[in-house]
Amino acid sequence: MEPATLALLALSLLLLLLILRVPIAFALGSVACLGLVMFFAWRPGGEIELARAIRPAASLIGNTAFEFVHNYPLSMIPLFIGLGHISYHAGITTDLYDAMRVWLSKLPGGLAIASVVGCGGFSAITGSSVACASAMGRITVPEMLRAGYNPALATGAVASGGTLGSLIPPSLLFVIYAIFTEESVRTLFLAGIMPGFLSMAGFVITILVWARISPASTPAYDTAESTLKEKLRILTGVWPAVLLLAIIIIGIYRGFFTPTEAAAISFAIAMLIGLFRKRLNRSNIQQALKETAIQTSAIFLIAIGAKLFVAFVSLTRIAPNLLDWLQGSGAPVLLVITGIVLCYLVLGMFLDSIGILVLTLPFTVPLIEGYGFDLIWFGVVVVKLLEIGLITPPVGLNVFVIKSVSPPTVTLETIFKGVAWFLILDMVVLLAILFFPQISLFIPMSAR
Amino acid sequence: MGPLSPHKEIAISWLERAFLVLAMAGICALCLTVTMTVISRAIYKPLIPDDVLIVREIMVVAILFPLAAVTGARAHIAVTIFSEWLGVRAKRILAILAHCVGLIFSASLLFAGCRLFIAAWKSGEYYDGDIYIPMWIGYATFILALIAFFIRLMVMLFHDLRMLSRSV
Repeated sequence: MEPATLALLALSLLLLLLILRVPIAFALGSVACLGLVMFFAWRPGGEIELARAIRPAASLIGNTAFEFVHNYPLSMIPLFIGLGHISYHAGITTDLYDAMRVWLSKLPGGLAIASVVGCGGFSAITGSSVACASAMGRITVPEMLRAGYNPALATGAVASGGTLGSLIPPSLLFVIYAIFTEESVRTLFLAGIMPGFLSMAGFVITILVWARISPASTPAYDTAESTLKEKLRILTGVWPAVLLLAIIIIGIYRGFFTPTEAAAISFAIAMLIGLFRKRLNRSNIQQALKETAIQTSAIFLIAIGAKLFVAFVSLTRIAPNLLDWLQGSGAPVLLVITGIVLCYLVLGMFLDSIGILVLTLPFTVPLIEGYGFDLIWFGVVVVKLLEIGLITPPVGLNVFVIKSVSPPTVTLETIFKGVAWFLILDMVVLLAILFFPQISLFIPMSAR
Repeated sequence: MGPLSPHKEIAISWLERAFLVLAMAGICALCLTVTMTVISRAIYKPLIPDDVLIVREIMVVAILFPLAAVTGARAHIAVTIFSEWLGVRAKRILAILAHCVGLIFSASLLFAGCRLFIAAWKSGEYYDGDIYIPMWIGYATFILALIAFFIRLMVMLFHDLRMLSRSV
């Protein structure tokens, strides 16, 4: 069978299995394994000889899967996931929100701004958008609703703020992108800083504009801590979050640590802080480690399946053929980039971020490389697109997470209405990242 | 296709829990190994010999040992939007399909892993370093995790088939 035909058949089977509710890891892995066997067994113009395929296919499958897991740099994934869970159980992330809440309460929409800034800080520690939306939503949405905030604004701000976890380092999506493109995790982390903070600033501006247009949506809020002394006491509670942030961002930027070392040291420090402040006990440490082990294992199985799928797709040479066809057709670069962006936006409406990333990279990365674009810049663009996918209907995962932590009176429609305002700013930031690559590349270049 | 006997069910659950605890310990060990290396390197010289190799061996435990527990908890990430409208019976059929597809994947990995283990065992090869870690250890851990994963998938397949036949 022609390799290109085999690749198209495999891709169709993969999409069918995904539609039929088969877990992404199982679908990717089994299609890749079957595809590899067929590739080696059925040479173009020849007969099927399964015996011929066993040795090369088994060797490729075994070595790819084992080497992927038996890997030092990737130990940063369980460590960063663990850091997020430990920080949450140790109350490090909620202290940050508390301080923002007290200090920003006088601003119009202050509570919502505190939620977004809190999400930024939370994501700088946890690296996961969904975890960020879930943890912050649980605390901030009920409080904003009690204060009389418009439910659309309250929920939309946290759902959108939660997406910051993908851009502000450490970001799991950047680590997975780095695995498949063989780019530096450190460079990607640094490239995500400015777009991440730009997105956060955009969300704050959206809230300020909303509060200006509709003051009734953001009634004044008085905190219990009214004196300067009390406010300063609350502010001192953020030092653990600042310390962890400094270890991760400054440590990596200045080259003191590799991302793996930064992950291990910040994990150890978060654990020590939690124990020292008596907020961690045996029970919640066990809970945090259990959640970390389960989440890491599920993510890695998808990545193993994707790694095998990439190996299969590379053998069929479908991506270089697609590139040749596109370049031969004389399609303008802008059209190709627009097509890729639209493709990610549409997929973001139906699939989850990791699924989209591992499904598309085997095809998009060779195209982007072929056109001579920077893969670090493209990584930031892709992650921003995946962020947007987290809040676009019908499968905006963060929206569902916020719905699950909101009172039953808040409907999905209300949350999507609120999110729509933030999506406008997201699109502006996306265009800025697309047309001004310096936004992403300035910090990595200055760190060289 | 009868149900699993209680003691078999208990044994499988115990094995999964033990593997999960080992993975949790593995995550702590990863953190300790890397942190100790960084601290000792900053003070004098790296304290742990072959720290990179040790981390790689622990990674297999930390990543793959929870697979059976993840499967048992039906915690694998799937796209559900296209099938959310289906009834319970149809969803059970799709779950059976998912287990079958999972079995193809796990069996392929298990078969390939066994070949690697046998080759490493026969050759007696080890990783270059100070403490000469044999290669077969990593492959053996890899296979153990996959066996537990495969067994859990089989148990779930039979469970869902039984539930489907009861709901006719």
